[in-house]
Amino acid sequence: MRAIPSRRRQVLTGLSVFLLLSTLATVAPRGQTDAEDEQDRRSRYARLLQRKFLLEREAQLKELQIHLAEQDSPYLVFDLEEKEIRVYVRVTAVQALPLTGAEMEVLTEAEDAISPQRAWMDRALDLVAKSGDQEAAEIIQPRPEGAAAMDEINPRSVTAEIAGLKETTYPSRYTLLYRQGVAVHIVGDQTALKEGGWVQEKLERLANLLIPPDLPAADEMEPVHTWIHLTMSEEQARAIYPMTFVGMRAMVRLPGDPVF
Amino acid sequence: MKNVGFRIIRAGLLLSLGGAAAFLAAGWLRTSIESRTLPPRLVPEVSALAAAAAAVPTADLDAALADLEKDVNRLEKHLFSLDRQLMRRAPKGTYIVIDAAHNKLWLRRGEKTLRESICSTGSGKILADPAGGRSWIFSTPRGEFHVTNRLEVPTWRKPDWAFIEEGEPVPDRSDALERFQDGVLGEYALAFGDGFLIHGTLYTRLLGKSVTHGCVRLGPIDLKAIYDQSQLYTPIYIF
Repeated sequence: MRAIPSRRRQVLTGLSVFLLLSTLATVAPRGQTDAEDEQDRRSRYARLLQRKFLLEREAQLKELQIHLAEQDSPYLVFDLEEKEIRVYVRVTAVQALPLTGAEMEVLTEAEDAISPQRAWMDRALDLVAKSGDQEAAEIIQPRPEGAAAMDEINPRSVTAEIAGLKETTYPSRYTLLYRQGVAVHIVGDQTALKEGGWVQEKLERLANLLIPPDLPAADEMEPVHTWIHLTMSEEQARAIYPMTFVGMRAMVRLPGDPVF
Repeated sequence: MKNVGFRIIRAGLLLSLGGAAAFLAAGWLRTSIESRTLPPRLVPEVSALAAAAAAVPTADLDAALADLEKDVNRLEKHLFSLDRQLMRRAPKGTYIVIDAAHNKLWLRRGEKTLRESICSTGSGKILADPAGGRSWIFSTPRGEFHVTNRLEVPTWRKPDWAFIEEGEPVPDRSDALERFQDGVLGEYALAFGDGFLIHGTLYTRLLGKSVTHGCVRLGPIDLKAIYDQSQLYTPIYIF
């Protein structure tokens, strides 16, 4: 057997490695089964769908901000992601107040959750039942119809104008009442809730909160209405309340929303 | 000749390795960018979207992916355009921001605060005219305004409520001599519409409190700085 010259051996070795790697490079991806390949493509489809959803939301928030920036007035951003309330002039935040940890309770309508107004209603009805106040029960009784209609609300597009400011005893000390059925309740004091000593006045106010006077009939409502409840300390509520004014607009960045 | 052959093989080998590395890196980068920008809660989880992905018939999957990629590209372009629109709406030049709730005034340029001052704004009190049906609410207006006039050594023309508040008879004529008072508005004043001014005060100890009839009061040093750095049409944002 004749020995292969060393130079030729080197060339052959190099060629073998090249062929092996070339084969691996071309065969490896095809080494997957068709099922695996399809699974990869479906995963990519799901990821792209998610990306599309995120971009759509980001565009929506930016469009809202452009709309608000054109109103010639400062506006609020309730940033539930950053846990801040910010005042904007045009597109610039000029003031921010923190909403700290456990003091904030956010109840937004999620597609898979009981709507907060419905939960409120249940809680209110329970308290009314315990109080034994028939008149009060009559006031509050018709409300679930309206509340139920709002169960289908999509919370992702929230913008509103503060139509009025109210000082209330229940459920919030300070309430920013928005048109179009959007209300942001800044709850500074929940003693009224704990007391359970319901009086007519409180119930009327509750009814006003649940169904604002200029709220259109349930069947006329567009799917942009929601209720957002922010529970914070009395101190924070006091700080935020004076920064608002009738006609002030606001938008909400929900948890998980992109930065805008 | 042998050397040339070997070099070609070596170059081919290196190119193959480089290509494989680039292919792997591109895949990793694409995945990491997508993963990093996914929000945690609002956007449905991939697992939730997997059902939608599973519903696409295999034969249509490539076309569906291509459509989706087109949508994403279109949205990215749209976002770029929205960013530009937002930038165009940013306050231009120097502007004044007033927090009437906390009696603070800022002179700003872009995102930068040039000066922060303590001011006094409207008390929110109501004054009724005992002689007639008129009443006044002493609130600082909220919204977006701009400097409409710049005054040095301004003279105050007392409105009717100033006489009523002091229990004095209201002069009939708007140009009556007793309406004009010097030295009470400080050295400078910036008018921003409907008779509202940013001006000085004799009562600097009350700065930081909501005590005015709607105007915005500043201490003398802050007033000069704001006056010097503002001009006609300087925007004023009050909340």
